[in-house]
Order: sequence, then structure tokens, then C-alpha cells
Amino acid sequence: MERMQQIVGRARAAFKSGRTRPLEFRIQQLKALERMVKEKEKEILAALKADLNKFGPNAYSHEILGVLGELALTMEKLPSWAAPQPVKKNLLTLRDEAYINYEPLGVVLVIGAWNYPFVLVMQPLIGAIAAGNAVVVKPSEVSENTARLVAELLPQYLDKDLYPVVTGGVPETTELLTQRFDHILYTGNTAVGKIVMAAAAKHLTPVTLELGGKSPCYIDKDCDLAVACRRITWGKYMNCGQTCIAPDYILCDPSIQGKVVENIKATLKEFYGEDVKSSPDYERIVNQRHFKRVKSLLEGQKIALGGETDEASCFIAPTVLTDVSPESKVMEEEIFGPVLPIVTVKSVEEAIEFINGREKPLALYVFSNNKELIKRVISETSSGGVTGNDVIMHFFLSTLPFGGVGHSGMGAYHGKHSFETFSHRRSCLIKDLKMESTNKMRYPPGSQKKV
Amino acid sequence: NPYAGLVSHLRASWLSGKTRPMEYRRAQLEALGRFLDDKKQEILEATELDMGKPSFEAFFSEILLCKNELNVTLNNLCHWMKDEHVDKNLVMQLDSAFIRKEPYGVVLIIAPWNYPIHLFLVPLIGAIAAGNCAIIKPSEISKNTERLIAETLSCYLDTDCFAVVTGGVPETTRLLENKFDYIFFTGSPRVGQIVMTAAAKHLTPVTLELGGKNPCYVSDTCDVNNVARRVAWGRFYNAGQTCIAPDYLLCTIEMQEKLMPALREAINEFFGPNPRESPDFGRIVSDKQFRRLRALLSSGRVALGGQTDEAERYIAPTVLADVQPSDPAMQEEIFGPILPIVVIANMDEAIDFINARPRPLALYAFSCDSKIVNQVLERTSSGGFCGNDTLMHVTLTSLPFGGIGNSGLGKYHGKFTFDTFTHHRGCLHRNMGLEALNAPRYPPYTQQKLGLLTSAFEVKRRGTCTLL
Repeated sequence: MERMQQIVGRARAAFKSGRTRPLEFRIQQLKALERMVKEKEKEILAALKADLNKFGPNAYSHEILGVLGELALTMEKLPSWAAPQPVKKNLLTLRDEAYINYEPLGVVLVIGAWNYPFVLVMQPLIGAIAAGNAVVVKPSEVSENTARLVAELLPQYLDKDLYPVVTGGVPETTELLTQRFDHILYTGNTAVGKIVMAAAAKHLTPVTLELGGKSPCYIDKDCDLAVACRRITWGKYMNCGQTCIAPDYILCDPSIQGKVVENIKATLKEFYGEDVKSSPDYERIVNQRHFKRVKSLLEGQKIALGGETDEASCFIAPTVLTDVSPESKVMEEEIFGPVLPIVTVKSVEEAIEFINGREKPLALYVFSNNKELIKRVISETSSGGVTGNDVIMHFFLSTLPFGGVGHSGMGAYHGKHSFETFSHRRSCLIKDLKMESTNKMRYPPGSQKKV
Repeated sequence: NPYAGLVSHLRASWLSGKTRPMEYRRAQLEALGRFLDDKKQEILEATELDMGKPSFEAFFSEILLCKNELNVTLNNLCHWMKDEHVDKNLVMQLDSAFIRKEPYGVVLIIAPWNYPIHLFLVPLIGAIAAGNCAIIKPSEISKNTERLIAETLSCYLDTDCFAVVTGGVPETTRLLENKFDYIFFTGSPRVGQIVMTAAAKHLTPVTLELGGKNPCYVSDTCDVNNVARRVAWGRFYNAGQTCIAPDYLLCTIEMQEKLMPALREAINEFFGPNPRESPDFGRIVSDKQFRRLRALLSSGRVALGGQTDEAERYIAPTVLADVQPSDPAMQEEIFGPILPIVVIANMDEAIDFINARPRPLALYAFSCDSKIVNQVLERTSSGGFCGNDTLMHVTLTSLPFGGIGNSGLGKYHGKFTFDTFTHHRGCLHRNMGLEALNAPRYPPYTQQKLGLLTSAFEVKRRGTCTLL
């Protein structure tokens, strides 16, 4: 308890010193982060390989490229994002100064997840630093190599008091959550999201919760199946299915189910060769617990593709299940693994009804040549975000807010949205002490004329 | 669960989609406008019965400001609802990228008693504009207004989509057991915690408009008469029962001395020699609040006012001088017509005093020297800030209204209310063709593909080229 109190207390004192206020300081810290990512690229990639069996170019494009992009964007735009924003005035305030001042919140807590352990800690950190906050970083203990590396590297490059890293598991995180923060950004699952929000409520701390759910993927009959399936295969099996915005399950007409399986099969060969297990580009399940969990989802299912597993290496082959029943276990919780169930539906109406009968997902995907159909699916459903005719990609456009809704989360970030998430927008009205005569009509005694 | 039926009825209406079309929202909003017009007299009477609200004040805050919000919303609804197209990166040039504005679903609005119409209606305007269904829970303490709302709102709004729930703490507790898609709460920090904890069980996002002690710093260089008038107006409006009222004054001992006759003059100007007889001065809302406030009068010394009448729940416009930080009046949000003055040596001490306390909803600084006003602004933190006046920053609908830390989270007014009740859904609609452009992202992964991806996705810093 004391250790957490000290760490957070030091961060708060450092924040109160005011040194994060000047933009030059923040940009200097962001530049240091950029140096860190470039200089320690080898170490970062090694940690990712150890944690998730992610291989060089793959790990780089998923975890480092995006971070460098976010850093460059933030450093460039910070002066314009942080500038006071004048607002439209009314008759009474014409001669006054009225604007919104962007101010830091104070000390924010960033809790990362294990599936993209570097980027999910770095991206929020970048926004929080840019907004002028002190940041306590808590990487996931499940991706222990990356956690250890982050704990080693950040103090080497950043202000030690302002941006401490706290490592540990559930007990440490629980302790950390008893402290007062001015914002908490948590990436993880729904159950823990509730715990984080309940802890935040004790201090009236605003939260951004990036959770998950089952992201549906509807494939229309009128669609280029080869292209659609290639894109879906890419998004589903990257990181061995351990992606919060992976297409979780497919909805399609029974008449195309067979072709979908065929196309996925062909694409898998294209991507990973004849023997997936020996492809350097195919990852592993993060640990035994999750391996067992995902494997158990295959019980009683019709395996159309894949299904091979190897407990010793936490290997699960890219798998497709057909004619899946909506009531089965694999359709209950977020899969977070390389298992793709296909649930057949007879029409887009049925698909929409199916989706709306479940919790709002983090992402929603729809493939069709028919633009109107895509528009309809978007309009008649809700989700954190959408990509039409592809998967995952909305995550990579930083001008789009990235976040969930309902059980998939609350709040959003990326790009400018990160800056705004971690800022307080303070309304400011500066009047003149003179010009009292214009105020007279609001003072008592009240009369009809004044009204 | 006594409210399960009601909530599921509203949810069914929500799922039917009837609140989505702009025409529907517009019609409901216009009905709210008619409610304000038709029931103006009843509103003035009910708020007068509830807390002796002067009709001048009631008209201004409960009718005029609400109509402004309605008009701003109706004028801009079409524009606010539209998909917001966003800048695209190189890879997505041929795609459609936009933010879709979506309602959350069934929302809950819990309102307090001090501005009982305004504080449910303005959030409701945003909730309706954003396409949601809503349950409104007015305060049971302002019971005449509660009854008015419960009995008449249903004559104006679609009862399938909008409902009023009345009751006290037990009823609100049961109501909070239900799952809502958004909760908007205005009230005390203590109850704010309870609401957020209940919301956490369903992962319901919230806006909490809370309170605190709003400091008011008066520098030595100022026009004492104007300061006195503006501070007195903000403090004694609604008999002090305003979440953004200047709660206490910070100034030097010399300024305290100068301010006293100016404040006396202002109070006399506003309410006459006997404020009890003025139709422009309100009363305390309940016996409990009256007794709480009366106990605060032992802080410092009564320099102006101090008279009370329990039968009428009247507390005179009061100024307490030489108040100590340990006095009762400095331990809680006052929420009454009592203005304590805490003497400090200089501006630095005032700023330290402010920063040692929880961040307030509003912060005020008075000075003829704009540098001083700016210093106070820059060295403190608060929900909102007004230099050289009180209350006025919330009448500008283009400024977001909300707290920070203990004084709240989230914001509203104008477009901010619409945004509060809207899920901003990031949408990317891609081309099914041009598959070749996607090739670099697919396995097998190679350095060459990585190079291509990097050049496609990279964001270059401007000014990083050097001319050789």
C-alpha cells in the first residue's frame, strides 16, 4: 500500500511542480520516447517474440510503426491541439474574451493489456504526456517480458517521477486502484472493466474503458468472396486471433458457407504455407490458461478447417467451425483465439436482428458489393467502430475515435481524441470590470421592463 | 424490481427506432418549447412555492435559458446529426471515413431541486436531440415542481419514449438497479459516487455535475462597487442555492474593509432595506437546509445581515468577515445566502489556499489588472472560470459546462449536451477492389513489405527535411 502511495504521491508532487505545463517539456518527453522506440527496437521486438511468438516485421508493423506514427503526429499537432479555443459569443458577451482552455487532468493511470503489450501502453501514454499529465503506467503482467522491458526503459528516457511504471499482477493492480487518479484508461476485459470503474467511482475519477466483445462479421451473398475472405483471414488470425477487434464470428447465408471455408483455406496456404506450425509468421496463444480455454470451445463443433493443437507450444491451428449453433459455448464469450465460427442466417434482416440481440461489440464488419446494404447494416446496428469491406483498418486511422460502447467500453482515443480524453476543457469568460451599465438589467429589483 | 417494466417498455420503443428520424426529434423538442410557453405561469408558481424563487429569476433560469438551449439545438440539429467526415491517411484516400453520431439508447436524467426545471430540461434537450429515450427523475425536495413535471410533461412528450419517475432516495436506489445506456446526474459529490458505483455494475457511462466551494478572489486593484454588485448578485441569486455561486471570498484585510460598505450598498440596491419584504429575494428550500445554514452563521463575525426566520425559512443576505479556514462555513459547500470572507495577505496566498482544496466547479477572480486575472486562471484548476464577474460563463451555450475532480466529470450545454448523449462511432467504408494495395500487410512477412507499409503509413514530421 505504502509503495503505491509513494509512487503516486511522487507523481502528483511532480505534476504540481508545474513542469509538464510548457509544451516544450511535453515535446521533449515525446521526443525521448521516440528515441527510445528507435534505439531499443531490437529489445522491444525480442520481448514481443518471447511473449507472443511475434516475429520481426510483423511485430514491427503492429507495435512499432503505429507508435512512431502517433508520436510524429502528436509532436506536430500539439501546439494547435493545446491552443485555447475561442468560442462564439452572444450579444451580452460581445466585448468579452470567451474561450476553452485545454488543461491537464493531473495524474492519470494507464493499464495495458497483454495482446499488443507495447502499443497498448504506448499509445495512451503518448496522449497523456501530450496533454500535460503525469502518468502511472501499469503494463500487463501476462506479457511479462514486455512489462519488464517497459519498466526498465521508461525511466531511462523519461522523467522518472512523472512517468513511473508499476509492475505486478492482480494484487498490485488492486492496490494501485485504491489511489486517487484524475483519469484511468484501462484496456482489457468487461469483467475487470467493471471493477476498474467501481474503484474509480470512489474518487469520482473519469474512465476510458477499452473492452471487448464478439465483433460480428457479415458476408453478403453479393460480394467478391476471394477478396473478402483474404481480408477476414488476415484480421482473424493475426496475433493468433488475440486481437480485440478481430472478426469474432461470421454471419452468412448457408449457400455461401462452403465457399467461405474454401477461400479461407486457400488464403491460409498463401499466408502460412503448407505447415502453419512451422511458419515464422504465425503466433502462439499467450499461455496455458488461454490455450485450454480456446481449445475447449472446439468441443462438439463441426471443424471444417484446422483444429490441430499442441499444448506444449500453445499452438492452435487456424480453425473454422461451420453450422455453429448460437447457443453453443463458442458463441457465448469473446473467443480471442484462432477459431472462427460461422453462423448461418437467411437474410441481412436476420443478421441485423442477431447482432442487435447481443451486447454491443467493439467492432462490426460487413462485406458487400452493395453500398446501400452496408449503409443499412451500419445504420441499424451499434458498435464501437465499423469497417466496411475490410477488417481492423478503422483502428489505423487516427482521425477516427477508437473505443467501445455498452459492454465493449466507454470513451475513445487515438490521435487528437487521446489528447482530448486526457485534457480538461475549462470554460473561460473574461469580462471587463467596467461597463457596469450593461449589467444593470440583470440585477434586482426585477421588473417587467428588465425581463 | 419495480421499474423493470417501465425501463423495458422504453427499451422496446428505443429498439423500434422511432426516436431516430430527425423529424421525430424535432417534434419532441418543439413540444418541450410549448411546455415552457404553456406552463410558464405554473412553473413560476411552483418554484415560488418550493423555494420562494423570485419570478424574475425563475423566468430567466427556468424559461429563458431553457428556450435558448432549445433554439440553439433546433437551429443546429440537422448539422449536428450529420456524419462527420474525417481526414484520411494515404492508404485510405479512396475510402469513406466518418464519425457516425448514434444515440446510446435509454438514458436516465436525475435532477436536483435548485433549478428544478432547467436542470432536467437542458440535459433532456440534448438527450432527445441525440435520439435517445429518457427517464426523468426530478427532485422530491422541490415537490411542487416535481408534481408539475410528473403531471404535465406526459401531455407534451411521447410517453412511449419519455417517462417521469417520482420519489425519494429509496425509489432512486431501485431505479439505479436497472441498466441504462447513459446516466446524467446533477447533485452532490457524495450521491455522485453512489450513482457512478451503480453505473459501474452495468458499465454505463455517466456525466456527473457536482459541486464544491467556488472561490472568489478579489485583488486590491479593482472597482470596489462593481465587484460588490457582481459578487452580491451571484451569491444571493436563488438565495444562494446555486452550484456555481461564489462560495467564499478571498481578499486582503484592506479590501475586506473597502468591500463591506460596497456590499451593503449593493444588497440595499437589490433588495431594499429589508430583504425579507423584497419579492426579489428567495427562501431556503427546506427546514433541514435552513437549520444547516443557520448553524454556519457562527463562523467569523456577522458583518452584514444575519437575520433569520424559521417559519419562513428566511435567511437574510449575509456577509461574514474574518472567517477562519477551520470555521464551519469553510467545511462544506454553503448553498445559501451567506458569503464568508477569508483574509489572505496576497494573491500567491490566495492561489495556494485554492490549490490546497478540492477543485471547484467554478472559480472567480476580480481585478482591473488583466495579468492578475490570468495568473489566477493559469495557476489554478476548476470546472470553469469567470474573470470579473460571477455565473455568466454558463449562459454562453458555446462554452462547455462541467466540473473536474470532486466537482464532476463530463460537460454539457449547447452542442456539448448533444455530444454527451451521442456515441461517436468511427466508421471506415473501404473499397472492395484495389486488393493489390493491401498486399504489403499480408503474410508471409518480409522486410520489403515492411518497407512498403512504412512508407504508406508513416507520418512524417514537418520541418524534418534539411536543405543541404
